[in-house]
Amino acid sequence: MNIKQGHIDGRQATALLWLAASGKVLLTIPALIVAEGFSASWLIPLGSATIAAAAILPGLALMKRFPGRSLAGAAEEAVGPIAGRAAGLVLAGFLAADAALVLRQFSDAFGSVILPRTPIPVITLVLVLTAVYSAYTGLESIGRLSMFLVPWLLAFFALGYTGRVPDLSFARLMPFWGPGPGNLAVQALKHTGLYSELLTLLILIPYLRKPAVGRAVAFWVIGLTVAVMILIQVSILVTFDVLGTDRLLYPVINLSDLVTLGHLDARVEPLIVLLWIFMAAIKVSVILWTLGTHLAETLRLPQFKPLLPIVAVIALAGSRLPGGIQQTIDLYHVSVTHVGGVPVFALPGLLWLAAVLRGRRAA
Amino acid sequence: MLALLLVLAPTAFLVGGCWDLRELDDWAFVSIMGLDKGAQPGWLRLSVLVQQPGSVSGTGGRVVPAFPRLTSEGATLYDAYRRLEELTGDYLTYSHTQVVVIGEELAKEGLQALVDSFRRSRELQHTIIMAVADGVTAEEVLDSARGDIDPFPATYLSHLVAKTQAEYGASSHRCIHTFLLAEAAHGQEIVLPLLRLAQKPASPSPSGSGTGSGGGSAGGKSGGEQAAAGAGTPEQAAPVERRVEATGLALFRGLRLAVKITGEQAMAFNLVCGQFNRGRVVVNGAATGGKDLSLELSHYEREVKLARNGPSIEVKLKVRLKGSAEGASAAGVDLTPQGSGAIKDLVGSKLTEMMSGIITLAQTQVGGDVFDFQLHGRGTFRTWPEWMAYDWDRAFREAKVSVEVKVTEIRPGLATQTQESGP
Repeated sequence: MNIKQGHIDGRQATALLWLAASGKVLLTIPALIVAEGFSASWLIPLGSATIAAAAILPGLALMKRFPGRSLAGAAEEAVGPIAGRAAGLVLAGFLAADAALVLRQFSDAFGSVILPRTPIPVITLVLVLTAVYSAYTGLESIGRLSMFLVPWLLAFFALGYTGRVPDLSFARLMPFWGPGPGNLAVQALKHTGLYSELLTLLILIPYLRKPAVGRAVAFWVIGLTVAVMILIQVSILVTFDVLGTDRLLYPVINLSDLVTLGHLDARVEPLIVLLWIFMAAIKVSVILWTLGTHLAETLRLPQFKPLLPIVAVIALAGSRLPGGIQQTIDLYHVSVTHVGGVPVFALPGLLWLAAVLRGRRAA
Repeated sequence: MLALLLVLAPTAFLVGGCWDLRELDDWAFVSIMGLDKGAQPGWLRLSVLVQQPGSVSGTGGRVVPAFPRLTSEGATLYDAYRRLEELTGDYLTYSHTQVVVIGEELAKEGLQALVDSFRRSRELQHTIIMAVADGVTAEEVLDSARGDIDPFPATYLSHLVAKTQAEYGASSHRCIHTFLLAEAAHGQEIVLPLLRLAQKPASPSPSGSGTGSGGGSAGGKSGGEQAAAGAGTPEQAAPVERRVEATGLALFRGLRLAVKITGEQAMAFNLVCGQFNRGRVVVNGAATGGKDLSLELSHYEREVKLARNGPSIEVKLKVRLKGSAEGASAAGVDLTPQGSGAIKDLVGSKLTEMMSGIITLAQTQVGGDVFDFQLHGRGTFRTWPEWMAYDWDRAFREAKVSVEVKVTEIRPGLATQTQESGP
């Protein structure tokens, strides 16, 4: 059963998911990856992307097996109504945790770096109101907004890379193997949650004008996201080195503080602030839309919109639960980046396997 | 539409931060920051030159800014900030600071107290130039920081440092970012520009006018006192005052100042560490006919080959340059292709000697890698833990470093006539 809302095309879905997935680089994720991958930390997103590209295939196969069904509906078809609904609620729980922790991180980062005199709960409230409104207007408007923003964001990024940074050296990417090849492979496996937005893709496949493009969208999203992550990770390493990055909370903001445009001494920081605001708004609205839609489908509600205020309050309340920003970061890193691969890839994969073993497919 | 208004209205009201509005005139902008040892053990003495937008006035079409110097002490930098605000009652902001000067005593004692404050500071831009005061306090440098033409001490001082660094060939500026980078990196040492005070003829205006331009009241007083002392005598000696000079580089071991280098040593440093752009060298030998020949060096290329054998390393440094004879110094010197060969060798051997000297100084007196050879060394390791476990400092101190300088071309300068084409 599909709830009532519009559809988007493959390009819009790609732009939307790419921006949502790439938004992480504005948070503390780059510093956390450096702490685990050292000078080879840029290889971790690459390795994780390769694993994610393979791991999403069973989920895509599940959605193909039950065309027109939502992920929640497909889960029920695959393993029965009780287990299927339980699986749906597990995924909703993961999305709620993701929403709360992302909301808190963006608010804290925004508050501590850009608006230090504004109380953080005020920023959280404004962000969540904006995101709820955006999600309320539906997938089409988020998709159109993403498409509109992509060229601007690319231009901002490009402008940043034409700038000047003091004492930059590519030798800081050495030693090449960082923690060692074996450890690097383990880290790549542990970080598949970097691509947790692929769960959103599985949920929005029924809302694609041509659901068959789901696989292409997945690969495009992974490819574009890994390109951004590698670019950012390399930029941070060659600028701050491993031990310098380890002492930063938001390396991309620190990086933008250093970049000056040629001999104009004009900073790219204001552009990064704009980029930050748009990416934060898109990321949070995509998560709220995904959570609202998936929860409505799991609970078999005809509309997802009445759920939006509820999931927003859950996210808002959840975002205040961690004791501080460090606890928020630790929780996010463990529950989304490290363990996120389980609900995003393993659970849909198991559902697909169950459907195959039980011989279930769409009537 | 109503929903949109409900979202936009609180956004505009809440995020704008209008409840604690401060107009531009309420702020005092710190333009230069000086840091010295405090009177109490472990304390910092913070001196700042501030500019208040409201204090800028126009007199006869000329802008006369005032830069009062303020001072406070505190157990930490933030403590000193707070005490300064308590003292002045102004809203001080450091986001427009252009130069941070560190007193020599503090630099010798160690800069541990600054690292965390600099890293965490929301206001201090990491591109701010850092410099060490040579033999004086940072406070004294702030008092004397004023230019003859530029009425703004901060821009004057930052340009002075940048230009003097360029005289020694440096192609990049040392700022808070490079300071923190070197502090955090494994096997890399901190290098900062050096500022000193020299007795120089007093400039007539604007500092001589006593308006407080540059250096504020204290700076004006300093110059004014010296000038007044001279004015009272019947035999009028030319009035002098203390002026800032950028003289060289301060080399640190860990967070403590180890060695100060000036002149040719500073240029040799830049040649070794790969940050050379252009520079000047004077040679004198049989090839120049026993006279001083001034050459501008350019087209710098450096190649570093580093081999690691267990706990020891061997560095082969190859430098290629082109030289251009300067003005009158080249008159009568044979700069033809046949004659310039000997001059190339002379310049090469001089630069080799200079570079070998600074490397020996770094190995013996500094005791740490100030040249960033570690960036080449880490490439010889397979993994990061192996690199971190390696005692790079010891390897650097005991390293065998060979220097080879090749001057590929000596050209006559624009104002030079060679023997062939000359009269």
